[in-house]
Amino acid sequence: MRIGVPRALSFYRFHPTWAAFFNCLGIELVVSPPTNRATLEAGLPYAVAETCLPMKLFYGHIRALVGQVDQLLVPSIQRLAPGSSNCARLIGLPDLLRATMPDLPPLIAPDIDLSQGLAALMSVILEAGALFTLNPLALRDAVAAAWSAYRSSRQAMMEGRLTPASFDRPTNVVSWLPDGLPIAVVGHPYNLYDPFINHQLLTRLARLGVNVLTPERLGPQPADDYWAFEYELVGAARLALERGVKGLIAVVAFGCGPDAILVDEVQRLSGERGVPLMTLVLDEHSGEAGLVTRLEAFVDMLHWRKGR
Amino acid sequence: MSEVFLGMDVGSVTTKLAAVDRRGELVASLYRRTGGQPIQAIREGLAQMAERLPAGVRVLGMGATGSGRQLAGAIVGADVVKNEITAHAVAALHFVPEVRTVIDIGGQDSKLILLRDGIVVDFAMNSVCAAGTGSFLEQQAHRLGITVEELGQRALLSEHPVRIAGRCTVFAESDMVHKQQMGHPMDDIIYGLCQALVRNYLNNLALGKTLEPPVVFQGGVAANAGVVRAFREALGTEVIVLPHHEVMGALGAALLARERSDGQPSRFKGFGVVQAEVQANSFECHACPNLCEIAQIRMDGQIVARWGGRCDRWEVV
Repeated sequence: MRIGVPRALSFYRFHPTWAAFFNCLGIELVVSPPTNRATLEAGLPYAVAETCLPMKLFYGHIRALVGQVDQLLVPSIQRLAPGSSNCARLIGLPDLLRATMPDLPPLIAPDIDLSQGLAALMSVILEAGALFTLNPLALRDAVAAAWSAYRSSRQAMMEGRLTPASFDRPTNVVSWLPDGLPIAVVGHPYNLYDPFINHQLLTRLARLGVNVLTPERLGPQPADDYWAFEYELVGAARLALERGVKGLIAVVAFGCGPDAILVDEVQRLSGERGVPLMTLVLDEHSGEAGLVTRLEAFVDMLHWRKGR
Repeated sequence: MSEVFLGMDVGSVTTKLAAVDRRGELVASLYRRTGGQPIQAIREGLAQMAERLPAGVRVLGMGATGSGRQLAGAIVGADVVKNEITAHAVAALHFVPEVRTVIDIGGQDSKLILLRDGIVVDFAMNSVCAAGTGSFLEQQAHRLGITVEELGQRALLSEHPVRIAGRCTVFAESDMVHKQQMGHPMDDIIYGLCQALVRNYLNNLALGKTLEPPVVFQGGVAANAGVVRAFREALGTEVIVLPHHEVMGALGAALLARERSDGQPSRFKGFGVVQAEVQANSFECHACPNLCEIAQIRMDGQIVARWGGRCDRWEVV
């Protein structure tokens, strides 16, 4: 059996976890190819105009898998902690897909809700796992492998050995510069590690001599916030400021509600410490001149400040 | 024999050139339209500049800035290719060393630069929308049947400006038409438009930032007395418009080239490049599904620059 995984959204966070789980059960995962212009064009007809670019690309990645796989893995990630909620688009992913694409293979779409405790999560996993094996011991081992893979992938990302872009294939998307000018770049991993969506933002910064500190490199730093993921990004910004970064770049998708709150909170934090913040908005425009100008000017400014 | 440092600012709407001497004094400048043809603007601009400079002038350094800076750098040979923020800040500091706020409004871009003790500490650029930039003013002036220069003079005559929606150029235009139909005097509508532009600028760029004096206003729109008046009233402080406000980017580029110069020969190819045959063509790269549009610049048959790719494949000439 071939199970398809779109290289979009939660892929950039959870792929090692899913891969370990299914590999343990002897099942192959097929990841859609890296994003390119064709991905976007394939996704656009299925997306409402107001939705964010990451969603449009998600649809495109699904299109790349339809016809190639027997099932699609599209979990509904709902809550990561009590009192928080994920973005409605992400919670509703499986339903959105079913409603927009008539030719889909069957979806594996468990509800992931970490606020309900481990027992509830296990019952969801057992239910989804029953599609593949009825042996509870095999499932238990798969869950253990998944959990361990999740933790080791987070660790490897903190140490700079792994990035979400290299979850399933070797790639040198970014060369980290530990001695470079430290700048924190906060944003969802699907906005930071897809070079198509952000016009090679991280590589460009590295070329300007920047030590790029992403939330993945900084490590998980929960902060109080209603929005799942968003609270981690704010926490990462706070940690980065404590570690003395010279600048902050917030990367947000045009039309993303939770990101609007992220920008506001990060603005407050950086303002308190007098650290410059720049917000980059990602959308469909393909012109890079504006982005390059902003990055160069930001780095120039930080060098200028440093030299004072 | 006179010696100068040249600066070129190739913007979306206009192309500017400036020449400074060893002391940083402005020797000559030029302001012309890019007209959607940057290569032609660069060549003609350079040729016109040569006429304004003494014969036999020696160019010690060349700086390029603006959205067409890579192109300009490739064609004329630049020692420094710098972004517009840095160039504008350097120029403003040169004339007003104690400057704390630089407002720059050009054809399609607007910028806000905050400085403290002579260094840039924060900046903002308009993000997704060109509302409230020079192109918009020009378009509205055209619609009213007056020149953009007249627009500024008439705004000064206004006594009771009407409120025009500044969020979006489409809304602003329909608002203006409505106010005209209601019989409001033209001067009041025009000044209302200037105020809307300033409100839009402050709402979009100055959000959460403190605009402290001295404030220097530069860029093409600074020529508009109505917008200057609106800024002065909105900020409650004096707004400095320098004599050469429209070429400040080019001036900054020239000053950056002067700063960079260390006795090494300049990479400036000489005024003779205006004679060179420059060709630009583009092709679609089929190496991967991204199908990037690669632009290629040839001078006298030789490729001098390439860009447009999402990867490095075509970057090295």
